[in-house]
Amino acid sequence: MKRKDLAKLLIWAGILLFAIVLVAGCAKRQPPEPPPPPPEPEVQVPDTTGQAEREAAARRAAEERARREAEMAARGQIQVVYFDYDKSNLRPDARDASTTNAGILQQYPDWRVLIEGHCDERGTEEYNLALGERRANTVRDFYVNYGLDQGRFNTISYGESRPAAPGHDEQAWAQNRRAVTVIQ
Amino acid sequence: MLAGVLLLAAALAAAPELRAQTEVLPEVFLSGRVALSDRYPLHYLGLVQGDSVSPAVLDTLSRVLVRDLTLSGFFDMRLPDSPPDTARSLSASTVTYLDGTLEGGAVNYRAEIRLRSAYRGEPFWVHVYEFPADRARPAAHRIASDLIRQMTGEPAITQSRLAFCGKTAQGKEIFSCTFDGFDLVQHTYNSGNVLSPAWSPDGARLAYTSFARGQADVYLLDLASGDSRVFQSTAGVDQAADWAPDGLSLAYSASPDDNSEIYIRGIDGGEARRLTYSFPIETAPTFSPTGRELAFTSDRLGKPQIFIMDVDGANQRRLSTIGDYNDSPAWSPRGDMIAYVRRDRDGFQIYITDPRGESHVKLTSGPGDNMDPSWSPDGLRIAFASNRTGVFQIYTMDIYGRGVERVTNTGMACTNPTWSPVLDDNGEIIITQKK
Repeated sequence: MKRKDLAKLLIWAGILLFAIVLVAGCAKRQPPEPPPPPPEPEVQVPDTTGQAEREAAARRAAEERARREAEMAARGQIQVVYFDYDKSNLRPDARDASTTNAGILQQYPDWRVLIEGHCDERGTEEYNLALGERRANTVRDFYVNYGLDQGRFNTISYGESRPAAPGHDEQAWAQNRRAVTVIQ
Repeated sequence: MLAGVLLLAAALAAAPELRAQTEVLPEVFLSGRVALSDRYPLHYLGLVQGDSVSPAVLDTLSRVLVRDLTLSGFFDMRLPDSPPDTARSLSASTVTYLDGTLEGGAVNYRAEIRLRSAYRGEPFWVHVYEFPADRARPAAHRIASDLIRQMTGEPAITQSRLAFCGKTAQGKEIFSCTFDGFDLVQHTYNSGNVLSPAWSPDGARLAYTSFARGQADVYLLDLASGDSRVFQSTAGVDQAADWAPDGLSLAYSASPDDNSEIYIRGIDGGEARRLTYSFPIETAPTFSPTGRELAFTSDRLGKPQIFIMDVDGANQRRLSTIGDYNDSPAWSPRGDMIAYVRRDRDGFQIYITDPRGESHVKLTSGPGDNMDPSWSPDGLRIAFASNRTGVFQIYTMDIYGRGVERVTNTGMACTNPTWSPVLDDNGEIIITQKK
């Protein structure tokens, strides 16, 4: 081997070594690879699934609407419970109305309910306030005995201060002696 | 003969019934055991008019004075045109003569009022009253009050007021006016409907029921500041407060167990004391003037009736035995009578009875309802609400149901009167005592 060849070899070896060191050093110092770009949105698939979702949403909205309409209809079916003069016991028609109401309230266990007791204008206001309270409590007790949760119910008495009918005859009085089941 | 015996036996058996239904009011005795029916003869001779006196002021002063003295029920009033009783009889010596002078001034009017025991005799009582021209009416009430106290020793109601519920477009609010219907003042605003005002014995407060928080609760209104605070607010109806005579506690009804019962609690808090324990309704308590007993309404026998109990809830006994609806008891400040409301054939009417319930006297009659009795502080008149004109208004009458005076004429429906105690005037009338 010639001296010149040896020198050439040494130079190449040096370059190679340098290159290796350089590469290794570079490899060490290399910044972390950037996160892979999100996959390209696929254009074909969403077309069908979006429609399904829209349909489902529309179905849900329709169901919700129907449910709400049914709920409104159920609220509309709640009946006023009427009483005899100076009485707070349930007469047969009042018992029927209360049973209807309890059935509806059972279907909607999330409803919170206020029961208002009212009296006709005859009699003293203080006694009527107490009587209205007892009428509201009578209806509440009927609902609880029907199996409804007592915690759903609040009662209030307005005595003779909020008549439903404005007259001063038996027809008006009969409409004013009442317990009203109000959905809150 | 046998028939006669049977008849007699039947009559004897019916006797207690007859006794229970007697409608004779027992005699009312004033201080010194003077019977109310034994009126003092009082001869009003009129006021001598000085210079620069407005005829309107003289007329108001004279008219209100005579009306107050007449309404008091103490006097057998004789007016200026009646002849003086100069006969040397026993009755002549009992007549008292009332006269005086009225003079106008730069700022105030000046009325000198005299009482004499003999016609043109030396006055035994002289007071001088100075008041602005537009205050002739309160001045007359003050003069009447002094004359009544001087001659009878009784409290005078001429400076008292009546509070009541007036129906406004926003609901019922509390108003008050003088006992003869002047000086209307509104005390509550936007209170969400009010009921049952009750004037405190010191005159400074009203207890009342309000729906301001939704449910019926009891509030205390300070009349000077106009501020209300909650006194009693629990679940259920809190209502129908009445002041103990010492003004330190209130009886009221509350229903913590779904059912109206009667309680007493100090006005500045403390534990409520429960007086009744029953399933039926107990409400509308009213203290006796001694504070040792309460009358109240209970429907424990199926219909509302009036009962009495001791202030600790003991010794409960029935007061009303006739009629199927008796309510709104109000115990007279003299203690001798209890007024209440009975549903009768001619509507709801006011009765009075003695605290033993022996005689029940009907004071009002239909057509129309007469309700919510409240006693004057002298125990000789009753304020009430009546719809005899078609709309409820406040009236007063004496304990025989006579001398009915309409108090309110405001355009509002007015109910639930409560009579103030005897109130002091505000010092605008200057009084000098000469004798």
